[in-house]
Amino acid sequence: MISPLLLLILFIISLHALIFNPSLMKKVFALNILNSAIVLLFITQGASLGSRAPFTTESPEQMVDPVVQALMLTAIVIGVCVTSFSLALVVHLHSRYGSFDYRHIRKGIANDR
Amino acid sequence: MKRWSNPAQILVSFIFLLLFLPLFLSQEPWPTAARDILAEEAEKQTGAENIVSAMYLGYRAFDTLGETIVLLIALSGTMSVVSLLKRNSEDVRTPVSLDFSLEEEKRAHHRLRTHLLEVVTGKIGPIILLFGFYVVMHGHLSPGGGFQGGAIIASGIIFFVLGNPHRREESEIQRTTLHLIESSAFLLFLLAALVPLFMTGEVLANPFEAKEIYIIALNTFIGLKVEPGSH
Amino acid sequence: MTGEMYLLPFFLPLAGALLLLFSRLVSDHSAVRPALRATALVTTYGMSTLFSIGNVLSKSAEGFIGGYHPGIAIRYEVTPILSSVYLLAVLLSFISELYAKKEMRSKPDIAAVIHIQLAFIGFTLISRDLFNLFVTLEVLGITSYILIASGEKYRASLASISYLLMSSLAMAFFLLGIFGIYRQTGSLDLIAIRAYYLSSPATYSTTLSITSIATALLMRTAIFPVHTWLPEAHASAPHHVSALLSGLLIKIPLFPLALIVTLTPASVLLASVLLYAGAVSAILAVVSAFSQKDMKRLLAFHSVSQMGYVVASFGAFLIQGDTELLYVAALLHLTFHALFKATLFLTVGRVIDLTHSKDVYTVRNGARILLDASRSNVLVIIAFFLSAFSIAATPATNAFISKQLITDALKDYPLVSWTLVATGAFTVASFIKLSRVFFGDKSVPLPSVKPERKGIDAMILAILFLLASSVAEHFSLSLPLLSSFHPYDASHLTKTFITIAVGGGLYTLVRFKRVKTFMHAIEGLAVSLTSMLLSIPLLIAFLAILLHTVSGLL
Repeated sequence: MISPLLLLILFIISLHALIFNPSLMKKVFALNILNSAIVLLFITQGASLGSRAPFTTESPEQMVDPVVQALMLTAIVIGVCVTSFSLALVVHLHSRYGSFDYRHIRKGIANDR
Repeated sequence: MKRWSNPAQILVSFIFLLLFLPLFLSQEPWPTAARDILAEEAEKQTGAENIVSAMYLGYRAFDTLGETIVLLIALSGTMSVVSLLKRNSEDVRTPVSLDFSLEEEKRAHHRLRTHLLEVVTGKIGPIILLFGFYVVMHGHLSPGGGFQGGAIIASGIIFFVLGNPHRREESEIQRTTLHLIESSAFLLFLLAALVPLFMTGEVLANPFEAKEIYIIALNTFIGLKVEPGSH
Repeated sequence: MTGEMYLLPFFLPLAGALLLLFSRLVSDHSAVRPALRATALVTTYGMSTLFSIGNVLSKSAEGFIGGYHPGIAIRYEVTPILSSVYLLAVLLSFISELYAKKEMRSKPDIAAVIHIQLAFIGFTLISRDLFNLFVTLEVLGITSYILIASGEKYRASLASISYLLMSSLAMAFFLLGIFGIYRQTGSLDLIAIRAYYLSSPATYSTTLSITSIATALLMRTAIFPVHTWLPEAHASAPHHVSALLSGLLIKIPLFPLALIVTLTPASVLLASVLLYAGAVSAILAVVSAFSQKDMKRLLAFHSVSQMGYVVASFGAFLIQGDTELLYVAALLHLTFHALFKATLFLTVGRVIDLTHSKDVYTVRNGARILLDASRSNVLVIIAFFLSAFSIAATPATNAFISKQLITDALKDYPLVSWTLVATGAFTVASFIKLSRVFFGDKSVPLPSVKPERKGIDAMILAILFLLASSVAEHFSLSLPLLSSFHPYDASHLTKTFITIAVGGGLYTLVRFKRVKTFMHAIEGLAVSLTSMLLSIPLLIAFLAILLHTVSGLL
């Protein structure tokens, strides 16, 4: 009961940062935390079934749900990939405009044109 | 710089918190149907004791194909943006002062290198590589698999690179090698997906009698795929 | 065909991408490289066209990938309609790759990204599994971020990261939606989920999960109010990428959306939201388009507007369930829009490249400049005007038929139908404005342009467009479903001519100072990244509360 509540708070804090923080870098971090919150939610809830690792050698009634573990493996890798590409883009913009603030970058781009 | 966001923003987030509360705190029991089927059949159908491996290399190998492709294109996209960055800032050099730096005459080329780094990484590198291969090859029997093992192998290789005094000169050769590994891993994975199509009429089905072979092969290909991806 | 050979055309572009990736290993000047590239093109476009035609002509097929246990494995369904949409995707990707031949040759990894995108467009269309849809949509997303940023301009990088953040936020909610649905149904298979929800009452969590997923898909389709990423992304991308994204990519999520909408017991309500959102999106976007100065932004806003037509008739189809006419109308308009929007971006792109300006008010004499550069560009000019007439829905063009069909089929919803007619008038006005780029005073000296050799590509492009659109038009009129539909009778023609006249009138209004200030104000509207990102959870909240309260009242 307490873990989903904490994850909800983590989710909302990262959502807040993602939406309202003007820094692109912090937005990317927030996105990462947002994804982690959802991944953890899947894993903790899927583990409410039992306490043993999902192996055929374990007794089936004690086992956690293997489906969500496999799904989250995929979701984590995708999250990492998106993060790496977005960090590259953010650093690329920073190298030109010297700021992570998207309002500043947007102004800079308008001036360039 | 202001310390707190403005109250309207906090209010909006609080409303979202209330909206999503029921979804997070739902008390419904977690469904067991899929787990029970898998506990029963996973080993028979895929040959993997590790049901998570059976899932992502057997039942849902197609998702894994998508995932490896995301890795492939994100890598090439990131590299192309980063190479732009290098081109634009060739002459920018950030001053680095480290207490553990090498002697003066070597510092020009290896500003970040310390004795500590070189000794530790050189010794640990091979052990980590070996462990990485173990994790890849045993992915169907124990926790681990291609993704985890691939990441471990990659960190082993990073250790080698850190311990190598001729790093700068080799970076170009290394890129071609990485391209080669990456493309061949993709080739092997695609073959693994399509060969069963012609053997059994189904994409990504397990074509062998001894089903472990296919799982181990897929794990290895993914390990190969992840390894350059993590650089 | 036996077994899962149905899936082969969707895997072939991956093989093509692979060949391109291997071509990075040989040196730039080796003869192996063009050979690998040619093989890749044949594999991706030639062979998958052949196999897809086979799929179109054969019956639907469904099953589970790898033949594993139902309920855990990934369900797919290949139908003739989906295969023909895939054929359209193959054609557009081919055109786009041909247009940027030079870049594609020097950057094989970007070309590989286009091939991979094509494969995953196919996978998105055929997938009937929630989590697999998540993966394929993420691949489509990440390919488009890379393609947008591939122009190496800072403006494109900012547009790409804005789109990335917005889309990843939406995909996070998609994942949360999967959580909600999986926890209730214990399944990821859309058919099984639908069966489950038919027999059990919907809770608030169900509604919230489904609206989260639907919003993620709506965002990709660029429907008001989550369309805000599109204009900047499509305007700053390289021309061939704009053509690909606007022509093709924004339409693909509609097909999974139709599946998601029918999951919820309140599907009629969600479908009516689609209907009205489509209409609002059509009219608002066209007014913005008319006010733009940047030619590519103008075209990008028209994409949002034209998608409004498609989504409105999709919504109406989902409300009524059995009216195939609406579905056919939506599909036809989707196909025609793909063809003419791609052509518009590519032809206008040629003008922009030659004049080095995107300003619709100052660029003039486009036709003469094009002809100076290469005689064969006459076909480019013809292709531009044909597609401009198409998007304005003048008689004897393909979109004339689809737009008449849509407004006819929506006659039960007069408000929507009349909004779409008004959109038509603005579209006409906006394209009169854009067409002026091609004309100008003969006495004005032309900027000197160096003759180019690109003429042949332009010709192939234009011919492909002409062929495709005439085939599509002929095909649509020969459908048995449309036997009672007469687009060329008096009432349709009168309506069209009034629309065109009103459009012309609207264009002349621009002279007035007040209208000019108004247009300038609209053009200056810049949506902040914060409101872009905020629109997604807000839309989810709005839809969830609406659906939950209204379905509770019923």
